[in-house]
Amino acid sequence: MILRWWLPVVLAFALGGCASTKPVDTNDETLSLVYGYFDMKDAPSGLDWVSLKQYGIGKEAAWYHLRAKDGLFFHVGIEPGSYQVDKFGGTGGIPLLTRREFEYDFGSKGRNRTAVRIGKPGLYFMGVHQYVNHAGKGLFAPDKFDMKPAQAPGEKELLQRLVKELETDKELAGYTRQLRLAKQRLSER
Amino acid sequence: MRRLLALAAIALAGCVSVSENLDSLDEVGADSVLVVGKIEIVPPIKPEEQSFKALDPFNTKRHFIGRAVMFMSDKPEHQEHTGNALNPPLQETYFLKVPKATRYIVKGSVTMAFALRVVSRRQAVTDQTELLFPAPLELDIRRGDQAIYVGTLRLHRDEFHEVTKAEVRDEYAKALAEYRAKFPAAPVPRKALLRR
Repeated sequence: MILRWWLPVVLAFALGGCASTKPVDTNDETLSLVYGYFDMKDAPSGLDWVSLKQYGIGKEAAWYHLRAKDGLFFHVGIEPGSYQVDKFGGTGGIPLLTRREFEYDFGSKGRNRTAVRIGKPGLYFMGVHQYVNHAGKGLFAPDKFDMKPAQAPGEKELLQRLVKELETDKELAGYTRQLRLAKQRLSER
Repeated sequence: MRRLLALAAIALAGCVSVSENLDSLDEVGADSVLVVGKIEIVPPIKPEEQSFKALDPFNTKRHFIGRAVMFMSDKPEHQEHTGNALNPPLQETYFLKVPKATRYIVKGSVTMAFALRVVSRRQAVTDQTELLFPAPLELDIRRGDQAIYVGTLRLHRDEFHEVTKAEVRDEYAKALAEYRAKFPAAPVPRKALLRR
């Protein structure tokens, strides 16, 4: 996988939050809530956004842009289909000196570890993954990394954070079905 | 900016010897062999599933759309690129010249999406999504061979462009008929199915 940096165009993804071009219909019961977590402690930037790519035989690819906060990313309005994380990114560097946008590729040669098939509307967890920088590459070659499955934080902790986000974020106030799904899953953990 | 794009296009074209379908056996010297075979993707890749977005003065796109790229080497070790590549069309019988010294397919893929993005005056990045073949694969090339038939490499895929099943099928009779129509006076290819 190769780390890339890009112009602040990607900032629009983060600013756009979990909305795509139009707001997600709060009454649409065909949509699913998708969430996951990336541990970026070892990365040169934080996590501001995640791009979810939709796959389908005979179809052109389509993307969703997900909001991210402290590693947790989610989207309240994913249509049925097959998805995996395509790219993700955030801002890193020293403010006023080396501050810039970073963009990362999760892996686009076949299926990666975030792949999910969304059939029935519901709650779908893409897992916890840790950014692991390859050691020994030196200061001038910080562009090799892997995304490894990780155990912490656990799904229960992430669900607690997700519920809190859904309850406190005014933009997400109408998504009561998604909130109910998250609370139900949390009660099962 | 123009200079950067031109350089990027040259990089795309790469310093690779690319073997495409032959029209004449005269192109096959003593150090090479004509390889006859077929690659089938199941289900087949529709044109709208592949995309190529880049400045392309050398028409590099033609190597990707409806085609596979297979890098050859003398050692069965994975490499992202080598100096020799085969560029067979998908879903139809191919006739390719292969140097006898390079019997291993060390990387094979179909590019599903390729995009070159200019991110600054000094930097461009490429985004490439590939359907990867199982590798390495070995061609059973022997010293006296002029032409070999390697079979149909049938690759079943899922929606994530992941190969879920690979098989080599013997469709020699059908391929031989096409070979005879194309190269009427040529010696028949020896059957030498691909092996892992």
